[in-house]
Amino acid sequence: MSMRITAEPVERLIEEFSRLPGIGPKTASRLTFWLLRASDDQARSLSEALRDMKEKIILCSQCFNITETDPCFICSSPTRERSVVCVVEEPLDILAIERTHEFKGLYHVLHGRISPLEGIRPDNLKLRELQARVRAGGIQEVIIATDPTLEGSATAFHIARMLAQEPVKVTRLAHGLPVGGDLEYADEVTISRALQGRQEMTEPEPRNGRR
Amino acid sequence: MHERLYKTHAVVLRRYDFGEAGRQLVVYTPNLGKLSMIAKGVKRVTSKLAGHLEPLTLSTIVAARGRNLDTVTQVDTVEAFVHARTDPDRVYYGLLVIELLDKLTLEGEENRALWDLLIQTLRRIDAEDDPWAAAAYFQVRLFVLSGYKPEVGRCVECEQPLEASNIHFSPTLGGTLCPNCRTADTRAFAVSANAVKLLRLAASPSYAAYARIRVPVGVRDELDAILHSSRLSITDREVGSATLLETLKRSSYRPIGGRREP
Repeated sequence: MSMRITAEPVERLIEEFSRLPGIGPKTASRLTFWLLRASDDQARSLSEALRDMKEKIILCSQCFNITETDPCFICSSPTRERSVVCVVEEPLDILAIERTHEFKGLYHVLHGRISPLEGIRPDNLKLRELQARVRAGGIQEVIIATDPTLEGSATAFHIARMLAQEPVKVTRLAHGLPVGGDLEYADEVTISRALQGRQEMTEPEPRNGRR
Repeated sequence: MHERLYKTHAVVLRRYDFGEAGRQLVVYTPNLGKLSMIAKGVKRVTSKLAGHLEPLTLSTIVAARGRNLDTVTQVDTVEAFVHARTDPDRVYYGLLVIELLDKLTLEGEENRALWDLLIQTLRRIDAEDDPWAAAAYFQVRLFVLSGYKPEVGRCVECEQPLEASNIHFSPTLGGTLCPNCRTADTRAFAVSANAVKLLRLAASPSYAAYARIRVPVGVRDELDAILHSSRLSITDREVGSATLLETLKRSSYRPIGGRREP
């Protein structure tokens, strides 16, 4: 055990901070000493935010997104299309897709991807729940939006096989060149997928209100 | 004085998140053995490095020496092993290969023979009809090259040559046992003469001789059992990819010789 260097409550907070991802001992001490000098209100507000987050956040029983209410606001929305379900790895992926305003269906959060190297097996994910959702009926298309990595692809194939016998269309997000990317630096797999998924150039439609 | 930049071939064995959008990589290289590196920004969609740093890809990496870990500055794919990476019937064999290699090697220990074995195995898993054969050969050769050569042909306990029947395999002692010595390891199990022959061929440096054998399903299961018990005995814990392969084999997904995805 190391020797005590400062007051016990301070040390304890430093220790708690340094458990967070991406925070080393130096950053942890800096945060702690900043809070030490901060107003009581600031510190209380932080601790309340932490407690609320842990107490009020649950998983949606339908899509397993993080939520305050069950079902979550997406699952209970009357305007969302209920026949299309988009499968994502993490709740954060929903935020990324929602920002596009392109997708009007529902989601299904797996909470991870199949990764034998990290010891994550299919039964650690919300896969059986997905199958049950599909079997319950009403879903016409399952869009797989796992990451375009080795593990994400393995997960996608696993889902495709799992749902092969079900009467649903299973699709996966396209692979291709990123906006603002540079063809010269793209890898072979990306370029070959981009070639396979090429699209015909059509005459651009005239925009409304412009000549 | 070392040059600040160096260039090496590499295969990514393992990677985990590092900082905002970076990843720490554990790579295997021909001349530097296993080493850890940092690749910055590879989780961003527009990363120039990301696509070349997926596991099961042979790449050329240019890295800058750091005080602690080296940083990848440029990378290019040499061989993409597209089938091994994207065919669900092959990918877990590939992952088993890199996972076991990672478990049995230490950082900074160069082993050229192991590197050559790795690359040849990835090529075979990518190209051959049945990825099982190449993955099994890799495992036996990996054991041989890292000092766990199985003793086959004679009894590992009394060193007498073996008869054609009543042979047992001991994962703990790392070899075959004759009927008199079979009690030397309580975990020893019976194996056929054909399985012993296959194991001996897999332990030899010639892949051609091993690959010529048409392996019946029964013998294949026996070699799987030998490999499973050896992995357990050497690494203490079964590797994740092997467990996954086993579950998939037992389920309806049929990873081996299954249909190709369209």
